[in-house]
Amino acid sequence: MLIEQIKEGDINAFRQLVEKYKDVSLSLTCSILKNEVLAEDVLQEVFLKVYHNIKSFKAKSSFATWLYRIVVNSCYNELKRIKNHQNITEIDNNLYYDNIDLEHKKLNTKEQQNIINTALKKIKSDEALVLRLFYLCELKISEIEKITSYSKSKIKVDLHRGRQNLQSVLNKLLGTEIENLL
Amino acid sequence: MKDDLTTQLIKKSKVETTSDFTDKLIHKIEAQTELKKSRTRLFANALKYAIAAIIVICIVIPFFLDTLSFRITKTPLYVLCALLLLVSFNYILKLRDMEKSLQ
Repeated sequence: MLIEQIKEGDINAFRQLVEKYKDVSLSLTCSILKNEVLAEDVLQEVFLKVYHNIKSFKAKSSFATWLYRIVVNSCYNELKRIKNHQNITEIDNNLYYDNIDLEHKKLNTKEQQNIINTALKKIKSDEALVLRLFYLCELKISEIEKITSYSKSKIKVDLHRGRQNLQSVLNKLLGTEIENLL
Repeated sequence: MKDDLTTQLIKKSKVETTSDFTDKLIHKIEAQTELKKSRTRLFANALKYAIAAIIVICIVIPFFLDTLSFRITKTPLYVLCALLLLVSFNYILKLRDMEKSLQ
């Protein structure tokens, strides 16, 4: 219904669509680009592409799958464009480390989010992306396959390694304070 | 790490956009739509004046030269033609500036 309204040029319907998907899409973008400012710029371009190409969406798959595929492709294109990607990752991670205050106290939501995001930035892009697609977007492996063009076996391996690496990074970051995360 | 624990952690990792993300996006879309309209208008105007100049060169001038018995000076017609071409060229330049601003 919303998609049909957008196809007819209803900008308010598009606004609703953006509101619905922007945070999850930004999380996926951050998984690959590892930099929130850059990720938001790329996401703006993604939504512009979506608005201008919405007529080519034929509803063969769900809208979310179509959108996330554009998100993933745009991020990889951006990565190709940026030569000094490694520097950005390092700068951003350092910022996060500075912001984490690991005193003996129950962490608030924002602090928890910062720590988990730092840990996700530390693991491989593929693993972070697959983890978020599976657990945050609640997609099936077959849908992740369509979005990322990874094989089923790679997705399963990335999920397994992603979980392990996430725990390992969180252990390193928090040590005995890990129980404060939940 | 267990599945439900990972789910909890990943759900907490949701990154939020800045508060003006949607407004900025909608503003960009509106600006692009407006630019697209202006581009079409400028292109139509450039084409209109170019066609008028071609008509003057190919039809009006030969008509005055060949069919009319009295003699007229050709200069005003050439001036008119040059003016039409200049106006057309002006619209093309505006169009080029607009393309630059879009990039």
